Amino acid sequence: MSHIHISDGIIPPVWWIPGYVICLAIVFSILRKTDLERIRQRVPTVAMMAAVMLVTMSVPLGFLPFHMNFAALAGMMLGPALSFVSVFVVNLILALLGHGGITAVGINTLTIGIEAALGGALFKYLKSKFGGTASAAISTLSALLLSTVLIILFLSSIGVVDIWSGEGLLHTHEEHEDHGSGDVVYRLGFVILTGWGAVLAVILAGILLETVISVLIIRFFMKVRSDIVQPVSEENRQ
Amino acid sequence: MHLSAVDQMANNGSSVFHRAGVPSKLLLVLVLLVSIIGTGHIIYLGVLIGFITVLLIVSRAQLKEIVHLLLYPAVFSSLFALFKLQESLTAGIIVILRGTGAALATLFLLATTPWIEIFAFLSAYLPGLLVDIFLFTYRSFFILADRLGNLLRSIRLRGGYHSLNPLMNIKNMASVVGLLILNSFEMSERMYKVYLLRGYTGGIPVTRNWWKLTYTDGVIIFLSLLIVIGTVILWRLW
Repeated sequence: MSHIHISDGIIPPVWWIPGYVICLAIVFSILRKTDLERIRQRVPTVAMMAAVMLVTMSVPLGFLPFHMNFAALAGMMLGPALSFVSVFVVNLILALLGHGGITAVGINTLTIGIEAALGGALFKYLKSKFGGTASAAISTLSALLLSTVLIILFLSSIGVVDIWSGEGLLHTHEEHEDHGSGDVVYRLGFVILTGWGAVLAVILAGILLETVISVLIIRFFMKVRSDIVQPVSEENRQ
Repeated sequence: MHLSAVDQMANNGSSVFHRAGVPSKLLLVLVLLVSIIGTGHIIYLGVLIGFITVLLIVSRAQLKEIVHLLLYPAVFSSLFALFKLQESLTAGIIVILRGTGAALATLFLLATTPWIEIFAFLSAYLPGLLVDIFLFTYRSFFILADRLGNLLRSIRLRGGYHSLNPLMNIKNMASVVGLLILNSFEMSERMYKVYLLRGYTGGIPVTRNWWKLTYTDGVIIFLSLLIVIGTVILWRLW
C-alpha cells in the first residue's frame, strides 16, 4: 500500500544513491546465497507474484487515494527473501513505465521490501501458533503499519510532507484539497476530515482494506491449496 | 498500464532507432537521465525534452500512447511542484520538466527496444536468476491482465458487484484475486515445465553481437557525447 510515486529530481542524491546501493546489495546477496538449482524451480512463481503485484498496483481503489500492492501477501506466499526480489522487479518495471521515478526505485524497494519481508517472517513465525487466518491478519497489519510509518518519516525528511499537518501525504487530486489552511481535507460522502484526521482515516482505511483482502486470499488458499502458502523449507527460501 | 501498447511499438516498429543496438540506446538513455536529473537549467531541460520528442517522432512511436503514459509522471511531479512553487515559479516548472523528461527518456528506450532484447543484454551483467524473474514477470503480466479483465467482467455479469454493498464487493474481490493467483501459480508451473522441455536451463541465450556497431549506433553514441558535453558545460557555467 505504501508505494511512493516520487518523480525524478525530487529525492536528493544523498537519499536515492544509498537507497539504490543498499537495495541492490540486498537483492544481490539474496540471489548469491540461494541454491540456484532449487530456487530456479521457484522463478516462475516469484515472477507470477511480481506480475500480480504489477497488475494490482495499476488498479486504483476508487474512493481511496491508494492502491494495494500485496507485498505482505507476497511475503507470506514466497518468503521474506524472494518477496524482496520480486518487489525490486516490480518497482523497476513500474519506474521504467513512468509510475514513479527511476531514482525512487531503491527507496521504494526498501520500504515495500521491508513490508514484504516482515509480512513473510511474521506469518511464518505465527502460523503454527495462531493458524493461517489470524497470523495473516497480524502479519499484514504489522507490515503495512511499519512501511507506512517508514514512508511518512522518509517523505517528511526530504521535505515533501508536512509532518505536523499531514499535507502532501494523500496524492490524488479528487479526494483531497488544500483550502489555504495548509491542512489536508478529505471528503468521503458527507463526512469531511481535515489535517492528520484525514490522513489517518485514509491510511487506516487503506491498511484495513488490504489486510482484509489479504486475509481472505490466505483463507481461500488454506482451503483449496494450502501447499502454496510458504510451501518450501527455510533452506530453500533462505 | 499500457505495457502492451509499448510492447507493440517496440516489436513492430522499423525505424532507424529500432534497428540500433541495445548498448548504444542504453548509453543514450543513461546520459539523458543523468543530464535531466542533474541539471537545474530550465532551458536546457526544455531542449532535452524537445530532443527526446524528436527522437520519438523519428522512431514513429505512437505519440498518443506516449502522452497518455506521460500523464502519470506529469500529474505526480505537479503535486511535488506545488511545494517548490513556494520558492519560485521556475523551481516548480523544473520539477515537472525533470519528472516528465526522465519518464520520456525511458519511454523512448522501451518504445524502440523490445523488453526481451533489453533483458538479453542485461543478462550478460546481472545475475541470471534476476534476469529470469524479469523475463517471466514480463511474460506473466500480459496473461494476468487479460485474465483479471475476464474475471472482473464475469463477476459483474453474474451480479457479484454491487455499488451499494462494499462488503460483498470486498469478499468477491478477494476471491477474484485468490482465483487469479491460484490459476497463475498453476500456469507458472506448467510454463516452467514447457520451458524445461524446450531446453531452458536458465538465462537468455544472447545471439546478437553487441560489439558490432552499425552506422546508427555511431550516430547515437555521437548524440550521447553531445549531451554529455552540453551538460558538463552547463555545470561549469553554473
